[in-house]
Amino acid sequence: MPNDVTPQEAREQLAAAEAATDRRAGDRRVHALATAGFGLVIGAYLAVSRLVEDTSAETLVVVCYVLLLLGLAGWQTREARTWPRRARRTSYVGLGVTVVLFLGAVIAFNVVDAQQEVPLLVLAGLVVAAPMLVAAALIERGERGERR
Amino acid sequence: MRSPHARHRLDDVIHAPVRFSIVATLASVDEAEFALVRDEVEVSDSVLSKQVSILEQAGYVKVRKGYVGKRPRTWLSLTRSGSSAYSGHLAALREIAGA
Repeated sequence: MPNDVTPQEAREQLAAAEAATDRRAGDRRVHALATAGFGLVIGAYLAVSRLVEDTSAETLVVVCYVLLLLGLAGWQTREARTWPRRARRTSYVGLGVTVVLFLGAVIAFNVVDAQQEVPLLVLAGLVVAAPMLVAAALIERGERGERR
Repeated sequence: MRSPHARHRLDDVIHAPVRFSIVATLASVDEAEFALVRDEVEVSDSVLSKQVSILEQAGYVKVRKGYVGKRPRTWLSLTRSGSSAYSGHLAALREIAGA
């Protein structure tokens, strides 16, 4: 009965509750790595797809892009048995901003009829990947933040 | 007028040991696989199912079914009401522990 709880029992239950919140480091790492991976793959695709545009390698790049995304998603789903608190929301926000930047870059590349040199494309890819890299860092750091 | 003793604020649904462990496990995650909760709480599938049903009926836990590849999986998560009840329960425990 709840009414029978002694201070000692209450302390034991609080200790058990505390211990239960401290076991998800591995899953945080999986989600952080997957989030960073998605960002880098999307950013790399933006750059590489411009370089191979109108060449025979274009289809191969698209196939590799899709396979990498599916592979990452499959690995993430198999490896992680939980979504640590706030990790999913953080990952989705990062993905949303990355997608917006990706679309913005594609539009900019199509509108601006400028020479697209490799350094510019690499920079654009990194900018597109950045929100997901930040999200990955926040997911990873959440582990330590929650322990404080 | 004195406020009621903290023991009166303990949640009867969460207070049972197995259910307390289930809720404590779910409190640190947005969602967890049924099998992981079973392993962490160290109970059988049937015991976990029964206790989860009680928590679900109380509106404290949400059950989601899906697939990973071809394998069926069940995920559990705390509802907002469950999270709030757990916070209140912990606050009452802290008060009792400090008494």
